Amino acid sequence: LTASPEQFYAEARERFEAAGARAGVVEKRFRVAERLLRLRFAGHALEDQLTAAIEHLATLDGGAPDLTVCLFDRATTGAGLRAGWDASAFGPRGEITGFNTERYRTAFQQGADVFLMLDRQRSEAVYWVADAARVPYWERSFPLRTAFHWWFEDLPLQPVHAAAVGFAEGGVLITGPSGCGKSTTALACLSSGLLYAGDDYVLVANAPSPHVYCLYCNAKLEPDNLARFPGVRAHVDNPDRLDREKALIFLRSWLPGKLCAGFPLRAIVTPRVTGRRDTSLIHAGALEAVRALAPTTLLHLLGGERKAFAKIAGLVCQLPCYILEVGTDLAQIPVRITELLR
Amino acid sequence: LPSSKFTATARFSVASPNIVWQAFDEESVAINLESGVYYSFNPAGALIWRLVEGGASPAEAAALVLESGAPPEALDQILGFCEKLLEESLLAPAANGTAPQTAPVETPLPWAPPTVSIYTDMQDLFLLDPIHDVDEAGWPSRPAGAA
Repeated sequence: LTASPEQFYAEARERFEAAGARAGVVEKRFRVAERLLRLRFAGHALEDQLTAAIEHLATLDGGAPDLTVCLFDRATTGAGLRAGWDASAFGPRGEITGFNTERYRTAFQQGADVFLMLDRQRSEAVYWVADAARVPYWERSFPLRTAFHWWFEDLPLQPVHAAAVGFAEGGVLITGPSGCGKSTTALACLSSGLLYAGDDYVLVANAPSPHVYCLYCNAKLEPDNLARFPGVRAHVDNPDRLDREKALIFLRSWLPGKLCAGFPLRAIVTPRVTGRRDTSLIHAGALEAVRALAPTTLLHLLGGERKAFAKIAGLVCQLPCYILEVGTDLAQIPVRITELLR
Repeated sequence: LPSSKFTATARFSVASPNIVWQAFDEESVAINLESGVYYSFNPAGALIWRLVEGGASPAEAAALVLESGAPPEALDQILGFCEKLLEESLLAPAANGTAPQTAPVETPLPWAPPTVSIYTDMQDLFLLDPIHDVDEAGWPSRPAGAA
């Protein structure tokens, strides 16, 4: 290894400042679960890619940020970053051996090819990619997911792989791995009075009482599913890439009034697609909800798994859990969820 | 322990730091973060897991459970369950055996044999190819043509 975590972080920060000096620094602020996030972009390339999904959280609050992330890419700023490790330093999930200490969290997110390093002491992180133009659509749909996970490690907050719909006074968390029907369930509810807080990753609080915050203002649908939601096709953000990507839809474009900041959680529901016409809710044990929520979340999010697991457990144990047997008549889904909440 | 490969004092610990677990009500879920496989234990399984992970040998765990009201056949069931945990690489022989738990346990009754359910549905979704090569700047490189 060529450097200690301290040295590497300092060098990455210097590279960011150099990139910013060349391309200009763009600063954006966001309010996340009553905390202030400051993003400093070197140039506009990553800003364009990463802020659309969190635009609803934007704030003009000029106070001291709780977390600052410095983001840059090599292609548009010329600022490269030398890793200096050999292949064996990368763990199976992208964690970088020797660079995850009490103070630092460090990973290379394979697939999105994002290098992310958090200095917990300074509450500051560096986010680097080789080329902003190659940021995949899924990273655009849940930007900074791992940064949020690390940021909230010691707080009763946890990003989880789940959807959420509800009313201002209370709603449901919809859990399950990819393909289980989370998005279909959540989007089917938009034809009713229910509000939307996310269909893929949301932020949950397990204390002082269960609550969900909307992190991302978009939805993702399998292209084959678009026909089930009248009018949505005109609002797909990536219509020319549906042969290889899920359809990405921003709620501000499609149904701006449906997006909400979050709500208290009243129940957890796990969809199960049945193929039958009707939709019904049946009681389930906590274990069912945990199986639907914990593995998929913990396998996505790197580091701090024990704390995250305990937070998920703390949440699940406070809420009634249900299986939502999802039928083909989508109109029944919001009816069943509304009955549950009323 | 004629029907088992365990000695009376053979102790075990969780096989890898990549295995995390959590109790819910009386049951438990364990996740192997490296393989993507996850497991759920029924109440008896969760109890045995907790005892053995806490330092009891499988035989000592069985003795505690038998003392608390489980039927005699529980002995073989518990030892078989522990063998399954070894086969699944959830447990591994402990380098240094720790002190066993001696406090009485509360066995869920009526007795049902300990079981572990194994779930592999996450494996295909999450496991990426291990990183074999890095480029000249030290970052993982993709094979030509890879997305």
